[in-house]
Amino acid sequence: MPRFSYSALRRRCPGLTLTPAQLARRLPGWGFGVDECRRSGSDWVLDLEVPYDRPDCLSHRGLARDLASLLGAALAPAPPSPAGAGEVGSIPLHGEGRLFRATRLVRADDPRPSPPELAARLRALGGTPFFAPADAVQLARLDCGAPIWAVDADRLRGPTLRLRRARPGETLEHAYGRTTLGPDDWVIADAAGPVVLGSLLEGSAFQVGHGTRRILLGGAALPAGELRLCGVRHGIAELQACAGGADEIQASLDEALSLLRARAGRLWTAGRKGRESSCVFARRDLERLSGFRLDARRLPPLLAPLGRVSPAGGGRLRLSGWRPDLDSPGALAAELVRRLGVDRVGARRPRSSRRAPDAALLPATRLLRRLRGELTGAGFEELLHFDFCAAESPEASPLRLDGRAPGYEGLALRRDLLGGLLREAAGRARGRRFFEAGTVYRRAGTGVAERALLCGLWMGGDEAVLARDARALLRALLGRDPGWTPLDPGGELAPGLALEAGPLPIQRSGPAVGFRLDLQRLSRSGRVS
Amino acid sequence: MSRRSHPVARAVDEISAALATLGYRETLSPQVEDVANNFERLNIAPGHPERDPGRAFYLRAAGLEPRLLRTHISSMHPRLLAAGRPPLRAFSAGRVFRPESRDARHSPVFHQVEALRVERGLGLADLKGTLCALLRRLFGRRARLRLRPSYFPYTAPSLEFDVACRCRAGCALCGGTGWCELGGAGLLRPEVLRRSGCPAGFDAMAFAVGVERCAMLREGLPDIRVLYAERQDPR
Repeated sequence: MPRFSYSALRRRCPGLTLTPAQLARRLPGWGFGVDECRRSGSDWVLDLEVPYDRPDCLSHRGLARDLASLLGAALAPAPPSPAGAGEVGSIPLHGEGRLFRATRLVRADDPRPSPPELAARLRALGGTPFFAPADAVQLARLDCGAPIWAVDADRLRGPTLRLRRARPGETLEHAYGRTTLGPDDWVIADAAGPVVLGSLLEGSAFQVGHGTRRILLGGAALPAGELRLCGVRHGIAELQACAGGADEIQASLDEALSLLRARAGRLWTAGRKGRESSCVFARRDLERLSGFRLDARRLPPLLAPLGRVSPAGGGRLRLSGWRPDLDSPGALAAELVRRLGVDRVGARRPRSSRRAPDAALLPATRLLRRLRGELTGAGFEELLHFDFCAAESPEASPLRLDGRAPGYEGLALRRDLLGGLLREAAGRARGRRFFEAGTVYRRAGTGVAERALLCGLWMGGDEAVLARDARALLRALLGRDPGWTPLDPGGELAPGLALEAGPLPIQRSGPAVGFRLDLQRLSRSGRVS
Repeated sequence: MSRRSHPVARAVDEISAALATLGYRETLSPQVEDVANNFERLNIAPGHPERDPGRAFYLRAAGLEPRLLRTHISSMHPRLLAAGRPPLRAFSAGRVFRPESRDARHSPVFHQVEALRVERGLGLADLKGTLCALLRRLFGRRARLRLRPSYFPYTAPSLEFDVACRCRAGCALCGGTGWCELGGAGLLRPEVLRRSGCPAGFDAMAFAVGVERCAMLREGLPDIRVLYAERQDPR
């Protein structure tokens, strides 16, 4: 969850007059979940959930811009870009022509710890203070949300860098360990190999440290989704909380430079700054989708913060660069609802159905409800198992999880409920009758067949009495004799059978009998529905 | 736990009954889904983090078509839209699977009830009206509801809905916020309808209710883990 400093938001949006507590109460209504709002020194920190479609709000700059547009408040003017002194030079970043990228070469003082207030700001936002240049990059990244990096320019091998996809076999040693890179990963590489992963995570060999004379700051406007996926793939949270276009990268570099207060060379840029997008809409569609009346006088002021609209009553909205997500009338209606307040949407009550509620249910569900009522009435306790898979041999169950979900390697989908029920019942001090309804899985050709089963279990007492009671109950429930054959708790209900019942192997707590019912098959037969 | 039906089963029954009175019919939806229905037809493109192998249970077997355990019950939408003739109102209940670690509010297996309504001229007002009617049936007329704007790749506008928690000073269920998240909702994007073969001119709204959350709220249970049998996690 990205953390935001209230004072940093206020600095960027002076018109934000809400107190931190008021802001925390209003944010969910604007689509941002609030996990925490706590004091940190003289500041407040908000821990927020930012929706997936709003990577522009992963930074202070972006969230302040959104708040300013929601509240009709003014943003603080952008500080002038620190001027280049010229004599430090530049190192270009070549590569993928379409993607915007920028570098700035900075003369480094001997690295020293950051001032205490800067270190405290960084800590409150979840960062770890290291020393001034690294902290400046971290803070600029959090403030502007762009993927930027800083490396020791004199450790680079060659006069230029290249933005490219990783090649087979390439690895990068970084602060979190060694990562084997894949063909989907973006890297900044020098003549000998990768230097930075995803325009954000510097290799350990290139980190700024004592003895660094020149720092190369840089950034590349990588697609937000790819950056996030790269973070998921390698388990690196920073990559998942960073996205930004050309403006954000330039602002981040400026911010890092002003925090460093160092002498810098000229800003080197290449690639496209981004494409202008637009949304075509009809006013009546927006009214229907949003549930608000949007006449020709009301709509233009609502759309004004989002871009340029023409003509006034509907048509085309040329979007501001920071809201490419408003690409359809549905997304635009969602934004209007966010601005006008979802609580103010009128509710149209649905008509009630005259049909009996049971008639709307599937026959198997109706049967299950009836059996559940009868079984609980007969003293059975219903259990629900958490497990849907088990450690089974490949011969017993060919439906195995592919093992890429951590912790589930080598497990197979369950074929039966009775074994689990038996193990659970054996561990219980009290209770002798249990049942469970659930789905089991079986391979069927190139697909998977699912069966809705109801399995039950009686335990303890005299075996003959158990069998007599069980058969009597099943006869009453199903309207026919269930048959009686020994059951294998490690087996499954044969595909052609609708039910089976019988004794189970003697358990530690005494004799046990059980049954397996196929709900769909039984309900289809019409005899017990 | 008393000798009664399970709280999750009771919650499913009550949600189903409430939806039935609103004219929705139950429909069957498989738990083992193909990748297209779970992701592609719902606008979750390749490269989306939700499709990452660490975030879904994919199956592996020789000769098996690419399958996974559904990560959400919304995977029923493409099937229904392709097979059903609108207008229609349908719902489905069942388990969904995500490789999450277990805590008081999360589990790798949980239940959802999802409903879909396809008609001409549907809008957010219809969705809000239906959600209010459903939640009032489940939690009583005095229940306080909260709707929040949200984002799902296959709906726009999208909402999440909360019910006021019973606690007064904050509890594990509501995380101290006083609100307990129950589910998500939205109007299906036109491209999702088109991709699933829905006739032109129809709109669709969908919503999903988290059954465990519903059961925990109704029974006053603070931890999702007490709903499941106490045997060890299979891992």
